[in-house]
Amino acid sequence: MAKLHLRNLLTAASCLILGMTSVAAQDEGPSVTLMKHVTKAQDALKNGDLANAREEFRRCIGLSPNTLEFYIGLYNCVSQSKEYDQIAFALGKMFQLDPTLKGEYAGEYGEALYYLAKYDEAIPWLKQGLRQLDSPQKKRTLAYKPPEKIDVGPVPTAPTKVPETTASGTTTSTSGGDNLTIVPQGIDGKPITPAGTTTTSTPAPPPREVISPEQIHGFAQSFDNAIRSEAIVIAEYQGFEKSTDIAYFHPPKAEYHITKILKGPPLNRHLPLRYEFHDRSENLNVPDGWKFGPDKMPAKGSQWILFIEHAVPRMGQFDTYQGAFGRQEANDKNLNKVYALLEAHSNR
Amino acid sequence: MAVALAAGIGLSILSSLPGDAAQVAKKEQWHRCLLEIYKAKGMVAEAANEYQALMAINKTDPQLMFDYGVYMDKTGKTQQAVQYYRKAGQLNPMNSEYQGALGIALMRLKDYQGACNALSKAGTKYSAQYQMAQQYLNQLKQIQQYNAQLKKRQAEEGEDE
Repeated sequence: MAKLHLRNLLTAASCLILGMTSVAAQDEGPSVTLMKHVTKAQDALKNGDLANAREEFRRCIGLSPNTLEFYIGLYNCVSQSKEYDQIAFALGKMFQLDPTLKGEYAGEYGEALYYLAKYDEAIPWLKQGLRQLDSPQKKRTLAYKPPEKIDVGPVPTAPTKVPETTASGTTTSTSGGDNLTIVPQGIDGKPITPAGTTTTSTPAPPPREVISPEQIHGFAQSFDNAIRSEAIVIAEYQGFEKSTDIAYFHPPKAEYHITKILKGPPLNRHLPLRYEFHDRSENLNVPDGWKFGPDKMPAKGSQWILFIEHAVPRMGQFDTYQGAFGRQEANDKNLNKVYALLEAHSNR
Repeated sequence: MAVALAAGIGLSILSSLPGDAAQVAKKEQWHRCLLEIYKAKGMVAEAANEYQALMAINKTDPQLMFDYGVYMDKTGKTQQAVQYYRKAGQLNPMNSEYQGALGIALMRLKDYQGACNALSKAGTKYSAQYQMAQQYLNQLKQIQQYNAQLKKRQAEEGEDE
């Protein structure tokens, strides 16, 4: 077994030396960033700063999710601090990238699963680990060494997020992407620092996604954001103050009666509200043919959920969140949404 | 590709096995994990196997023997529990918990003399149980004396007739 691995090692090493010459010509855009993190991780590991090393390895994994060494590095950092979620994550990915490790580190994986309370999953791994301990087969030691070959994979628009708590993740496929092969080690075996890569040209910035104003309004006009209003109440519409100069941008003062305060200060039950006709997402144009009339107002006695962004009246009237959006019909669907979000936002 | 990666990962192929002590510690840890899982799932037989495996590793760990005794006790196997309480007590005679648990288990088995002996070594924490065991023992003695007297009288009456 050991002889076979040694042969593989020698074969791979010779392949890598041959491949080194072609490396310099390749685009090293993402690799420079990656190398910075690799160097930082190595330095931190060397200095015994496991917390920093762990973070750097996580960044390396984000940039190169298929490089086994980074998972080994992460495993080395977290196995001492007994961060079992990270141990399970690192080992799970290591098993995907090198299935031969499954047999050798099954026990450690099972132990991590046990501490994550995944009992049913842990049993077979622990048993396998115990069998492995009893077998005469030698176990390799997982010691981090700088990778000789890094598969950067497709150039990511955003770093792959390393899950904080997961026991198994999916491997990002590298097929079909612009695979960059870099050799961060020199012939003498010393790792090349970022300073050694100064000859690289500045990489072109990745294309940025443009967000339209409509999309921004879309983000704002959701219950998720409305829930952050200072006051949220259920109120009954009772009428509005008649005036001769009511216009699209000069809304009437509507009278509501609060039936329930869902969030915020104990406001007076009588609630004067600026009844805006637009939700602030549109252009400042009055819709064609718009003319105020009682039909523009809700039915008397109807129940509404009012999101009041600032629980302080302005010129004697309260403003709703995003104008018309801040008034939502108090039906079961909307109430359920609001209650669910309030529950999720409560600091319990 | 996979071979190259495997070669480059820094797995020291020629590395030797970890030290025996480390291996034993790992073995013990994994058995303990399995034990806790089986206990949580109520798998009594499997848990007992794990205890046996752990006791095979730690032949002189009184706490382990005691824990096994407690587990057996909880699962209704008091006779076996007594056996392991005794072993724990022999390995650490100064531990009042072991003696106390042994005494209580023996009381349940109606071995009041044995219970008194064990509880007398268990210290003040178990004084109430000790007194109760003594009372039982005294009662038993009185019953035995009464029975003996009864027999004696019956025998005397038989002779008179």
